Amino acid sequence: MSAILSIKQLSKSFGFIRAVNELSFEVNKGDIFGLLGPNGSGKTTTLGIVLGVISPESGTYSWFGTPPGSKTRKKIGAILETPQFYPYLSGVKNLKILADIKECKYDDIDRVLKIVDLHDRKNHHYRNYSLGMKQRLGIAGALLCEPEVLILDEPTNGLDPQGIADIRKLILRIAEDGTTIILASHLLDEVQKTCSHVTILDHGKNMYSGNVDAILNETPLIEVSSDDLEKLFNALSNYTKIKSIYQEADKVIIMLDEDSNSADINEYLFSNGVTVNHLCNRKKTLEKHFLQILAQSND
Amino acid sequence: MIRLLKIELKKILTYRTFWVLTGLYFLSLIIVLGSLQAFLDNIVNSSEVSENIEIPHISLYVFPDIWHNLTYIASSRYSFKVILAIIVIILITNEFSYRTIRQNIITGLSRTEFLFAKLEIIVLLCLGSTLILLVTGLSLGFLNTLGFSIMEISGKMEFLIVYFLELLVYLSFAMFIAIMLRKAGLAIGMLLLYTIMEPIIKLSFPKDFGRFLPLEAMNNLIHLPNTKLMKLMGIEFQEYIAFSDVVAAIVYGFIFVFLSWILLRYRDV
Repeated sequence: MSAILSIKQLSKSFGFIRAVNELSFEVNKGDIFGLLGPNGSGKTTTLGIVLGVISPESGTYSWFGTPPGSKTRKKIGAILETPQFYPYLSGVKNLKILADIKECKYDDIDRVLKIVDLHDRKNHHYRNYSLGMKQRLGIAGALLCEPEVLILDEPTNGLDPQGIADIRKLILRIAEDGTTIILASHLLDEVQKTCSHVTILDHGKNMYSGNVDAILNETPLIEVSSDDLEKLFNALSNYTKIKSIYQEADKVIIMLDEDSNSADINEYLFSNGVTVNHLCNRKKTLEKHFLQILAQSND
Repeated sequence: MIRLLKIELKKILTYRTFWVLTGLYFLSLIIVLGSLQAFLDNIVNSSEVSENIEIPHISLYVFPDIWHNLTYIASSRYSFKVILAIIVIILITNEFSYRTIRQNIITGLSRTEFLFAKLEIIVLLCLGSTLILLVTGLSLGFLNTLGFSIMEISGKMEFLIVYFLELLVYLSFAMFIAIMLRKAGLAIGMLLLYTIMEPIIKLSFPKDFGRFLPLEAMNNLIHLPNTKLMKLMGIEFQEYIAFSDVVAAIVYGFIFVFLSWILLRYRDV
């Protein structure tokens, strides 16, 4: 697999704030790569650096295995934070400027405007667009000229539920054509539903990098509940095939060893005289994993 | 080069502020140059002069002196060329306030290309102004000169070239201020303040140093025309273009463009 984007030991400070801290990761061809992190974790700064608008203090990055420059940027379609266009120009004129910069034909403009459902408003001034329309024009600009890599920074910002669903579908469809997508978001749900790979950022550091499915398919957690919670907890604590155990409200949450399952637990508890009134597998969501990673980082 | 110009022209083609300001600038340029004679006559007639001194009639619109007279007025640092500087400042600071410079660079424009694109617009504005001066000068000259030859018409036309150079350097100065300060209000305020302050700053420099301050160096290209009135009063002004002044102006031009490039290159946008 060839790395489309490779970041090594990237750092950037704004005053006393270390926005990006020795960050390294790689994005491979065809990935839908999620850059996940809370507000202010350095997602936009990182993307700003690799897009050439922010200069890093230290560290390097490369696109397509070559040093960065304006030529490589022409192969990338991107929106960074809010879309930025000339307010006194119409949507289509704004896209023509982008097409001129990218040195591609205007033929593609109608196509991308239709994709984002903005075609019938294309001759209206950008300043008269609603927030959602501005965002959609930004996405249209990023899609222009069929880039090899698509970078979307919080793409569903300001969109209504229908718009959000449309964008997610669009991302998946574009990815099917082999386009590499980098998606920065603080919305776990968004990353979980669309991304194949994820890097979790906190305070500019890489907290976790890996396959989204791998996180989600780890041994599930099991919720157990009983009328006598203390007895249940003690009984489970003595069970040998258990990785971790903790209490959450009126439930005991346990993580089992790989070779054990919920049926074993039920049998074990019954034989120890504990009656269970609730037993269920809890599918781990990225959100729980995310919070867990953040909790670890704060220790 | 053509690609950059195409991009820049798209940005301003339907930008009303630009056209209104540029239109008014060209209009006022023509009006002022055209009414210069009437203005001067008015001053001469209304001034209280003792009867025994006969003031000769001074025509500003006679070939070839007209080129010197018109370019001198048009390039005065306190006159309308300030409007042109404000136009340049607005065009550049817009890119920062709309953050479109960011989108331009992300999309694949290099910082150097961004700078050259703006320079191309500046050159166009300078060419436009010079063209207006040429057309106005020819019209007024033909109307006011009796019996002229090609030599007379084209004599002193080098003032037009120097006028173009002066404007180019001046607008590069405006561009540098705009890129440095990024905010229209701040940049325009700074330009005006500096324009007012420079003659005062000049006083604190040794005599030969003061003439190398930027606006002073630009203005030195075209000296006050040496009219018959001045000669009458025994004052002699420089009637030619000094090579050293041209060099000084060109050096300033390069400095402003280079500093702008440094700022663009090393600052985050």
